[in-house]
Amino acid sequence: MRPYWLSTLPLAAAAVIYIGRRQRILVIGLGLATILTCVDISLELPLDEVTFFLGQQWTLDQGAQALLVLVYVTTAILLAIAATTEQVESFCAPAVASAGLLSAVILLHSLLLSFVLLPMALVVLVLAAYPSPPSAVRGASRFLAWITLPILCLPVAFELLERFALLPDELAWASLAALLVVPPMIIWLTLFPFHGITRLWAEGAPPLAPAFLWVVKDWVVIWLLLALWRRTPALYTESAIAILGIAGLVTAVVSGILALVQSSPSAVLACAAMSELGIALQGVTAGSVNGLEGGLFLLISRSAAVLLASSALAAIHGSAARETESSANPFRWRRLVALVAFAVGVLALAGMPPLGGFVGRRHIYAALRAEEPYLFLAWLSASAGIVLGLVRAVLSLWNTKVQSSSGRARDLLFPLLVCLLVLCVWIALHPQATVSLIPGSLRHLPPLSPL
Amino acid sequence: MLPTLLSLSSFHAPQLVAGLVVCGAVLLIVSDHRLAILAFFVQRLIVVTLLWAIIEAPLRVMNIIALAAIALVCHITEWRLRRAEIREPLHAHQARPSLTSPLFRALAAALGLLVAYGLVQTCNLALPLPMVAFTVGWLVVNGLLILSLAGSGLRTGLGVLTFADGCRILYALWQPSLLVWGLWSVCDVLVALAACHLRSAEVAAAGNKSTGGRE
Repeated sequence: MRPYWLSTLPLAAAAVIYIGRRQRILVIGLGLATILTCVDISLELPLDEVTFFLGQQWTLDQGAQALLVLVYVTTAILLAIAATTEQVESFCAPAVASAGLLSAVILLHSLLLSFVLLPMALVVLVLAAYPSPPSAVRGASRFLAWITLPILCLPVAFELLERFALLPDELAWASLAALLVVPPMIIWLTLFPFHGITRLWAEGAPPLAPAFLWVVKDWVVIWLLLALWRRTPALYTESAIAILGIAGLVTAVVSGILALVQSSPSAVLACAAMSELGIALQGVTAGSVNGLEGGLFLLISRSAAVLLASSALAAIHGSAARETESSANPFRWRRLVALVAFAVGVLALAGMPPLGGFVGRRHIYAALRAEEPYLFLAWLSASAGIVLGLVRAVLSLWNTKVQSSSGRARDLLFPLLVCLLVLCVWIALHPQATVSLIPGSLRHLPPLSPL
Repeated sequence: MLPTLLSLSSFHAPQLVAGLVVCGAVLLIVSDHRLAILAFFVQRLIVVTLLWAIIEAPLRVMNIIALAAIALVCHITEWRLRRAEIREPLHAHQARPSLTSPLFRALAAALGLLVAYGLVQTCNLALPLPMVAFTVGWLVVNGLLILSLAGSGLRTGLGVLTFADGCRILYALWQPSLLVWGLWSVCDVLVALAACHLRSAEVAAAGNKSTGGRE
């Protein structure tokens, strides 16, 4: 086995799944089997061994291995959630293909090629846009409009750096190169003012494609950003991290407050996920190892919370259909369990103690060394918006009848819900053990560039 | 054939650049999707012709394959939608109408032309010829205008591809790598696929809405 198998295998499987997408069993079975095989391959492959394929170097280091396992496991959970919804036919092939392309992004030694491949992996995911509700198509359209635009920024930044290497007196080129990295990161992480894109895409249905963006894409983009800074320390400047930190703060506050006015539970989840990402980015750009660890911890906790809340929303749609079919049981216990799970997931994203979001925020707050209470108040306002939005969403979910045509597979969601709930609580109770799961190579930053 | 293409593809050919401007303006102004797709293909064909002399043979082949693949994807989508429309003629099957009138979009095209011309005149873009700079500027500005005025996923896709065409000319002048060029071409086909999928999804959503309304 070679590292490039992790890219070619999902791409080939995605093509087969797309052709046979009318066969539900084939779609789910092949999708899950492919992703689980990829987990196995990524754990079996030797570390730090260089392989050549298509004229490029492919390597798997410890950090890349951990990230790949995270990507595959979260994709497998999303496929399992999708299996209980109507969206399975449209979601599986793009998700598997996107996972394959993201594997190439992680494994390729050339960062320039990785940055060219990243928009491709995201464009593929647009194929998972589901016609219902219409806002999802509008959200996917906006996503398509923005993600490909910054593709030229990074080659230009690399070119400027090469010129700077030839003429070290031209400091302006290096500063410009460092700043050119910022707009693509803001767009690819859909930070403010693009934070509404995934919310629009998520509205009105169990958010599968948006959840993939939150739990897989965001990790890969942040990993690429850290890899870029580590390999080219000249790009790790104070101005670049300050702009990204401010973008994170504004995203956190605006998304959190916007959760208050959302009518759809999926939109509340989207706002909470974006708000949490903003705070995690503040940690990553804090300029210290403690801040970085806090940011990465928050990203892990966010992934678990997003998966929990997404599976709960899928279960609510399924349980509502079941209770509509047979109204023998007057107490809607399935919906109650799912609602509790949804609430726990969103509360974790809102930073409610003692859940993971709170623990991560505490680390980042300490790393940022904020002397005035403004930062605390900003985060608090975001959390308050999310909590109030959650109350509104839970009440509407309890009273609304949702129709779904999914089959018996929805019963499988409840064990998955319980497992994710346990995982969320475990992360909150064992923050040190969670942080120790992050490989040392990911928890390392170069010194700030003097530019 | 080849010598004709070589002479045509010279950046001194003002007819081609004028054709590019006309196609871009049509792409921006018309509301009919089929006409917009046709205008985009003519525009892409002109870009391929313009690049003919300055890029190597494998890159030309990739351009042609990408163009053919995009044409195939768009044609199949339109054919399927037309068949669905014949079977079930619903007014709701029309895509969400653009929020702007054709007059406004014509004015936007004129503004885009002015901006592209202004860019060439005022900025030192370090490009070999003013015609090249104008072509790049027009495609980029027009792509952004199409994106900002897009009322549907298909228009968004065409805007992205127009913007990418402008960037592609720039990249062609900067020692293009075969692999990056190939990946970029694949990305173009994926964008076309995604745009066509969004168009189908919009039509399906409009169909669901009208069915739901009748029930």
